[in-house]
Amino acid sequence: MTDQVLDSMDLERERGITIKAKAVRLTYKSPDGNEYIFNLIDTPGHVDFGYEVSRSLAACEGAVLVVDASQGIEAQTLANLYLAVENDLVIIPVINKIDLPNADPERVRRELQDIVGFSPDEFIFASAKTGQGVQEILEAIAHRVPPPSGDSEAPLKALIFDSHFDPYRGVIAYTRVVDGHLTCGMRIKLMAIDKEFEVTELGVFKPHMDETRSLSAGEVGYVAAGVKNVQDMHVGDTITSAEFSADAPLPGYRQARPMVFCGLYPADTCRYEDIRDALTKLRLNDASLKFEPETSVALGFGFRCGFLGLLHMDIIQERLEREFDLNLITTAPTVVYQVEKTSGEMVEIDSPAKLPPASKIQAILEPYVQAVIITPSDYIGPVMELCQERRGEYKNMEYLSESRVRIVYNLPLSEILLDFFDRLKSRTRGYASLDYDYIGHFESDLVKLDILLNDMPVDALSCMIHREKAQERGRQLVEKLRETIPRQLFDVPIQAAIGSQVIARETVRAMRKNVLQKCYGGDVSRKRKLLEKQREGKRRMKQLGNVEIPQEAFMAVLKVD
Amino acid sequence: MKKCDYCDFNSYAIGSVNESEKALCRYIEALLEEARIQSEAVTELGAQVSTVYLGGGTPTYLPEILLSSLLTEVFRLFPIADNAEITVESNPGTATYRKLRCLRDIGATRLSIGVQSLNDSLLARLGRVHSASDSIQTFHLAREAGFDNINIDLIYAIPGQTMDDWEETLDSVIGLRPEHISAYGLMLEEGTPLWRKVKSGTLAVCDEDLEIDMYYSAKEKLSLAGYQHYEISNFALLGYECRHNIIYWRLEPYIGLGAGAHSYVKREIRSNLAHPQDYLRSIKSVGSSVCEREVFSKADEMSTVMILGLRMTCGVGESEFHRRFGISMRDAFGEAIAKGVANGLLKWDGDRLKLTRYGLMLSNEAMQEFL
Repeated sequence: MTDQVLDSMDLERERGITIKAKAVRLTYKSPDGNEYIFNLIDTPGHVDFGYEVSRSLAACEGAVLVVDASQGIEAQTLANLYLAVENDLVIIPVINKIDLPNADPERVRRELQDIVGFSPDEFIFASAKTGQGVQEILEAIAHRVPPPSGDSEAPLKALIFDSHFDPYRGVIAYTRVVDGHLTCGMRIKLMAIDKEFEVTELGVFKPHMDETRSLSAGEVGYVAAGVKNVQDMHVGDTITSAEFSADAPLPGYRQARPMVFCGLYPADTCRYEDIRDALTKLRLNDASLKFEPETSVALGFGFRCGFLGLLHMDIIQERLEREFDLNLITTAPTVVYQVEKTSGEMVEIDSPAKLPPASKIQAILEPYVQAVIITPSDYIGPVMELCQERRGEYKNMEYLSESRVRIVYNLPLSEILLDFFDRLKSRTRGYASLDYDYIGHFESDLVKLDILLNDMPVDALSCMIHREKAQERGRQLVEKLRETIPRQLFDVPIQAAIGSQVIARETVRAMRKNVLQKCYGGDVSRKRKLLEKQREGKRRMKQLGNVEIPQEAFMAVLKVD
Repeated sequence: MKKCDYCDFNSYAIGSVNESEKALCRYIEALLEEARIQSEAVTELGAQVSTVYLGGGTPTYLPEILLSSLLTEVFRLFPIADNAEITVESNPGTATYRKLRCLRDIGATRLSIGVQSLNDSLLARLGRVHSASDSIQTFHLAREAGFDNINIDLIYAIPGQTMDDWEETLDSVIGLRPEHISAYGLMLEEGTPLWRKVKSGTLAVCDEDLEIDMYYSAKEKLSLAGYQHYEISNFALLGYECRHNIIYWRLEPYIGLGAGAHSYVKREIRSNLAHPQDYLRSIKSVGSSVCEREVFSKADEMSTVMILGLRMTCGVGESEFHRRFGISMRDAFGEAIAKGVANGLLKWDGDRLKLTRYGLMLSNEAMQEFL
């Protein structure tokens, strides 16, 4: 058996993270003489994938909360813990990695006890590496988590908690049967869309897909029903019997909502259709990915794509480039603003380019999140300073233990997109963790900052910014662009402007030298190759008017100091 | 003898004096074996050799006996034209009067001296093992030995060099009245000691604006002194342009002999193995050391003719291009030419396409477009 058997994506293995929840069934022979069947779901931890956790928890009776004995509680740990509590799940607290030299399981136990009120004997100390505690965990699952309570005789109710697309079998829905049973060949109805299908295959995860004849109340498995469109079998829907329909669907859970948008453009304009195909394929397995065609004056035809967060965006970009061999130009990520027009109409904009003219804007609202930061108390100062710089509004602070605090701020989401996490890590030597949750849109004094290259506005470089920060940011941006844009045969002025008012300016000075000093008989092929390389470099750049812009320039907006 | 701090030539250290003599002998033997095989091909073609260039750093390091037997043998093997240009490269301090005299007597017509600078502290910075006065002495010795066609190699844009330093060197060199002067902006080649010093911050590279100013200052000074600027880095009194190098820039056939040497024959670039020992072994066993062949298509040849030809200030003539390829230069490279002209890098001068004065230092920008 390979390591990380459930993190099967290359990206998951490389980064050591879980992106997609995975289900597995295993049989456990307890020393008490009984045999137990466990249905387990491995869930992601990152804030972007909170919805994956929430829907997995809805399909469960209990949760094993695994906390790192050296890192202690992280902000995401708490977020996921609260989700489990909301879902009335039995929680088994496990403190893992106790074999590490800097492990402090007792401290972590005290913190967890204080927060949730676990009793001391509920904790299991474990090491996945040495195997210590594994038996105790399995015993705890067998004895502490209640068996499924569903009624096998009642009309079928099965919750779809995930799905993936299989080119041969159509959509495969991951499901938890709550009441009744599913059998092969039966006609089922998807309650949300009120469509009927015939079950073509059923099975369980061991962890590979293992076909079975039926699934009954309490079981977790998969269903294939020849569904071609992944939107039809949408996650959170309830499967029932077409013949004996249940009265009401199971309670769903909050839909994944894209919070971050960016433009994705092919570096090579003729590959527009390839991007569309690739995005369509990825969406088959990722209902939270949104995209629609977009046209930029600077970049041509591309797509405006919506993601759950920055990590999600990063992962999709990397998968597009890796799995589909695409060379992408990505514009800086933006949040979704709500614009109240003078006419009273409310519009949502997911791109600065869609902002109505200033004269028609009454107010702009931006999304805020409640951010929870857990940090060693030594770094309270730097963390609060960072939040303050990012227009944060202090909510509260509590000590988890003598040395660890939980700080809560309300922050504009846009400020988090701009390198917040990296800053937080660097100001706390990597010790702080962050989790956040959308709390609503609130009015802010925002302006659109335009960038002009050689006196031409570049739509793909525009961004929304708080008025008080516009000056500083404009200066940083033009400076960064000056470093990124290579010298051309003429001076290239770079300007940052709000409306017609220029607030910062830099110039990329004209190139004066690009010459091969020596070229004799032995140099011909080498020098030809050098010229070809230079020319190839230019081909990869975007031509804006007569200025050549490297792809990184469009991301420069993201990384400013 | 030591390698200079900026040099990335194909060169290898050989052991003790005793060993080195033996190694050199073996190498010269292999070189002559290759020459013998190649000469047959030349003779078969019925072609004549119009120039010979003995270079690659410091051939004058060779003992007189080896040097003379090498040249004599080359002259015996190849059908050399009557007025052939025979150049030998040398470095100050390696060439005695006897050696120079011997070279001249055997038939060398041109001597190229690696002077680089006439400022001793800059020479030390470059890791050169000779002084300015060594250079001047070698120049006079060469004149005494009968060389009436001498080139002096110079380097500018050396870390720490000022415009005054450069102009002083130029003035002194002009005072010597060599027939030919090559002036190269220093290239920092990766891996060389000088490159490492710059990378580690011990030395600061020459400011680009200063480097360009130095280039144009050399152009002005030398042309005032009667030297034609005939190629990006080369200047000569009228009639003393290096005919050998012009063959490269016109992409006419040439044969390179020795480790790492390149040839261009029948639209094919051939490269020999770079390491002398590998070279030796393969010449001995199979009579050839060619390790790489790159066959040019007609299109490759056309673009290379443009790229190399534009290095010369006389540029490339439309009629000579048409004669060679049976197609008009404007038809083959209309877009590249139009762009270069529009950007001020290229200009038409009657029938000839040339780099502009501004385009000299930006020639890569214009040349890329021909690929």
